[in-house]
Amino acid sequence: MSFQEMNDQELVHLYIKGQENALAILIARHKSRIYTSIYLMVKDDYLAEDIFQDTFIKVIKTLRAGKYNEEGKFLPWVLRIGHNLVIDHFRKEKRSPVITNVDGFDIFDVLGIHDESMEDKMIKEQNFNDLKTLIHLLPSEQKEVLIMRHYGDLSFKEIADLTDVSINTALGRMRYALSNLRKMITSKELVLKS
Amino acid sequence: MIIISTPNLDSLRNSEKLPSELFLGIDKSEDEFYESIKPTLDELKKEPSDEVVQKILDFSKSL
Repeated sequence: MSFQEMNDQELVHLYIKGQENALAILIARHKSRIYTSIYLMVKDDYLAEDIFQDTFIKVIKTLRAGKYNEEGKFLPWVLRIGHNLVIDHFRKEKRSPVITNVDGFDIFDVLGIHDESMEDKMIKEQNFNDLKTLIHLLPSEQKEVLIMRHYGDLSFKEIADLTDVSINTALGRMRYALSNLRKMITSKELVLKS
Repeated sequence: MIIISTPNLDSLRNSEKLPSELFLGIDKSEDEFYESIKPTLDELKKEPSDEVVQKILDFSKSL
């Protein structure tokens, strides 16, 4: 069986035994999901690359130290490490506000706390078609769930475990994320790229 | 602090992966909306540089 045909657990075992190619395959297999998840949280390529690198350094050290929990899945574990490093970064920078939501919460109530020049640009252009910017306008918990669900392909149980909330809360945050995205798109008559 | 209120989805609590039409069953239009934006979300996928990947692999080999 070639490395490409092996599942993640088999590759992890091979890597622990000294097969460096197994690590290369794991990275190639999951790098887009992991990097995109980090990037959409920090919104900066250079910072995302730093955190991506630090994430895998932690992964490597943990595997080499024999401290990997074999019952867990590899990708959710790596995403959790990346997620925690993003949180650590924002704590150090003291930049990212944490906003929770409530039933009936209107996304446009929070637009005022974001960069006003960016909002002005959106209004002036009248035909904003970058979903990425709309995602960045979501409250951080909603953005987080959307990113982990869509890009990390995590189950809601995995998302709940990673973010230390109940499954109901994770589900609710995804629902609110989609609801708020739709409100922004329809109310501003925005056109998404096809 | 504002407290989040979530929908009652106890019957789905133990599901590992939930079909979108189930978890969004209260409002199926949101499920349809999610399906409609998925292609655009996919366009946002990014790749790390080859350089950073090589740094990681080099770090592993150095141990």
